[in-house]
Amino acid sequence: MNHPKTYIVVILLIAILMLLFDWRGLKDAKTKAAYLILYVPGVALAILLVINPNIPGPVQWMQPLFQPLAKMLFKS
Amino acid sequence: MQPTCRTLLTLLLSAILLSGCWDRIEINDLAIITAAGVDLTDNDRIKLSVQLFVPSPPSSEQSASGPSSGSTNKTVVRDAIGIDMADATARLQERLSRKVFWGQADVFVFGEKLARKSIKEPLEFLTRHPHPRERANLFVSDGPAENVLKWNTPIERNSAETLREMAILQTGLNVSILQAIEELSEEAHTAVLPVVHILQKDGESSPFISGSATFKDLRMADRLDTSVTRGLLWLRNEIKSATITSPVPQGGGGIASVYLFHASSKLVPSIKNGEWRMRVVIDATGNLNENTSTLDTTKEPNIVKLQQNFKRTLQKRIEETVKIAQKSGVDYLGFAEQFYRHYPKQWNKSKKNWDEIFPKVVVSYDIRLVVARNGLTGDNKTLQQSETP
Amino acid sequence: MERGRISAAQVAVLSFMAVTATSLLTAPTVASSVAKQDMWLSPILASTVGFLIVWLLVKLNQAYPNQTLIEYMKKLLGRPLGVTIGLLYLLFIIQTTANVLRQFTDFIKMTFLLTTPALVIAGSMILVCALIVRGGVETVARFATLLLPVVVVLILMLYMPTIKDINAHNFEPVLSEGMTPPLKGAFRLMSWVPVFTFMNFYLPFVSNKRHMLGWAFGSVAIFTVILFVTFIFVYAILGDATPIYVYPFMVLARFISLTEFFEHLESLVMMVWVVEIVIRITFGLFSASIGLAQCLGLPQYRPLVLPISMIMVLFSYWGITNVEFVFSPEIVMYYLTFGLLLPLLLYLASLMKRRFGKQQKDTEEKGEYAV
Repeated sequence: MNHPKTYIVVILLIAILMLLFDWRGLKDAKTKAAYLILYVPGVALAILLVINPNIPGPVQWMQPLFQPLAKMLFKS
Repeated sequence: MQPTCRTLLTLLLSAILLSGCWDRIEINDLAIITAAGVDLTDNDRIKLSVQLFVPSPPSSEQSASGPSSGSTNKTVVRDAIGIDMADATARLQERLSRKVFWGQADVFVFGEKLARKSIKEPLEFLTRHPHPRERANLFVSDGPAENVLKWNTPIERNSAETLREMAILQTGLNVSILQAIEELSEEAHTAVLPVVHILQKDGESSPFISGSATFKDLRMADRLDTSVTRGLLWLRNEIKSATITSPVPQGGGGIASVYLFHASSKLVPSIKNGEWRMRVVIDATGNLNENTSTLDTTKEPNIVKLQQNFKRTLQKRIEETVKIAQKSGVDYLGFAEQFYRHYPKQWNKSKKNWDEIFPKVVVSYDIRLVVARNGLTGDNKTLQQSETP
Repeated sequence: MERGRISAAQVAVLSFMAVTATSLLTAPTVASSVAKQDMWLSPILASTVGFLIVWLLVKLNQAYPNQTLIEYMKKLLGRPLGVTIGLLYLLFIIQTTANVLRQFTDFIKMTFLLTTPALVIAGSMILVCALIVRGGVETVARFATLLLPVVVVLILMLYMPTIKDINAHNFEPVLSEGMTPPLKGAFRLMSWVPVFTFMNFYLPFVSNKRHMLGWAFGSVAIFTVILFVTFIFVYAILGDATPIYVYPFMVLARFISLTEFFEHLESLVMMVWVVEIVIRITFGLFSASIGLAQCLGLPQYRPLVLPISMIMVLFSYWGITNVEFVFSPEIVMYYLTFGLLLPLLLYLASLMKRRFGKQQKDTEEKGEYAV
């Protein structure tokens, strides 16, 4: 059960079900576009994370951003 | 999709989830540990011995062919050697057909050899592992801890249960993992654990709690005998009931005993002119248990005299404990914590020299002991006359 | 977009339950590691920030009654800047909620379900939350109100039996090192308090706006009291050992032994935790969904719920090997930037705009007079 391929199949299954569930509710083009902008990278990222779980994420980008501020406040 | 079709599909899909009970485990797949002993082997490895409770299936109680004796539940002891606790547990698992389960382990016994080296390893494992409970009792055994577990007790279900009940009765001390961790992280970094001594008599061994072991910085420092431990319990305010027997010099050399059913103690620190003082305030109430002296207990002045005697005996007992502690230089009395709480500034200044200050702390006593009731007999003339010729 | 109407009391209950969620289990460790026996003071000090945030939100809501933070930000800062900061703010909401989800899965995997795949735990959790959020703002708010008695009863069931183990001497010496340790502790608590900003997504739907400020302050006050009581109980029983444990509240529950009969109550902690986490995630998920819909100018937010929840699950794993980072100072700054600084700046902007606008009007009027 813990094989990456099984995970990918499960994720694709969930993704297809999600699309089936939501597609009828997406009436106008704008919502459709917004939905797909979230959906496509989401599924791609999910598969990417299964293949390589160690890709750096937003946490790694954010920490150096706030580090100087935190250091400044913690010293005082 | 039709609405009915949708609901049907959802129901069918939820069946997928049923297949995935990953953490399902049956009770007869578990090796339930009731007690564990940790020893140090000659080549500095950890020897973990566990007492397993093997629940027998309920059907055997009804079937006639099963074992006829009343208790069908078995207790088995197994052991394994490893580099540390986790490794030993893994090794132990290799030797068992069931999955090791720590959730019911209520007693942990450390062998003296391990305690002398350090109890860091088992304690770290027991607090980090999600299963062992914080209320589990800790003991130090006189010899190898394994022997304590192997002992078959006639009264209780197993030796773990016996030890736990004894600890709860407070014949000695009752120290849980949480309490030990708390005391070790307090200012003095000391803790006291009860010692299990195995008494050999008529080829039968029977462990009981005798005295205590003191720990300093996770290492066993000293071994206290029973009477010193009682004194320690007085200082730590853990006494629940006590019997004090004291000679009565005013009463013709007789002896009197009091059963104290209420007892509490308090440590009051003070620092004056650089001199560290500790006042021990004890408040106790009791019933007269026995009086073979010639003092007539129906008269109030005599009761006061008896009280004075009991007070003196109690003070002597506590004094002895304090003397031993100060001589050894290990502050297991909890003085450091009291000084820290009342004099944080001075304490932080002289924290480093505490080992030198502690033996010099002047201890004074303020004991209030009341004999509240005299028992069913008052002036017991008949029995006292026959004694004196 | 959303026609539901909720009461101010419901928003208050929802917010304090959501903010209490993770703090109940882990805050004692975080605060006691710096404040030691004075940690009980930290929630009281931290509450001032909470009150400030809530006051700012209510004031902003009074200025723009039917708009969320995203909408009036677009108005105040202009469309391009408003949308950019709005998207960053939504990322903040999604990420913090994802962290909570990760903490939840870690706790469950750690103590109860050791071999169940994390995806299943996180997935089933987020599915429940997504269903609630799709039900609309009324469902989200009423769900919290519905479960409030359950949580209160369970928490009381955990506190009451531990009363006999309390050792009040654990709190001595009081303030031996001055106010610095409790202040530091309060600062560490800032990884929870700024979550109150999510409230702005609920305030436009409040029907009784008159009582809004009172209930909002009440929400912060109840949160403070809950945290205060938890800290008192935890430190009075665990004492100096509090910083050692990751989940002191759980240790407290396991320590319960009533006449050797009521033992092993840790499953109650799990129940409290699951309920609280559901509320915390719905709180964040609804905010993120409606926020994104408004940010992009979409007519409805419901279709966005599932993709956002999927992204939340991903964010709870993406680049996070160990969730301990949640208590790092950088994260506290991250929380404070979006939770406190952003509403504060918006409030100042709205004040300036109002004054500036008035002056403009005045000059215009004067101009008319001049003519």
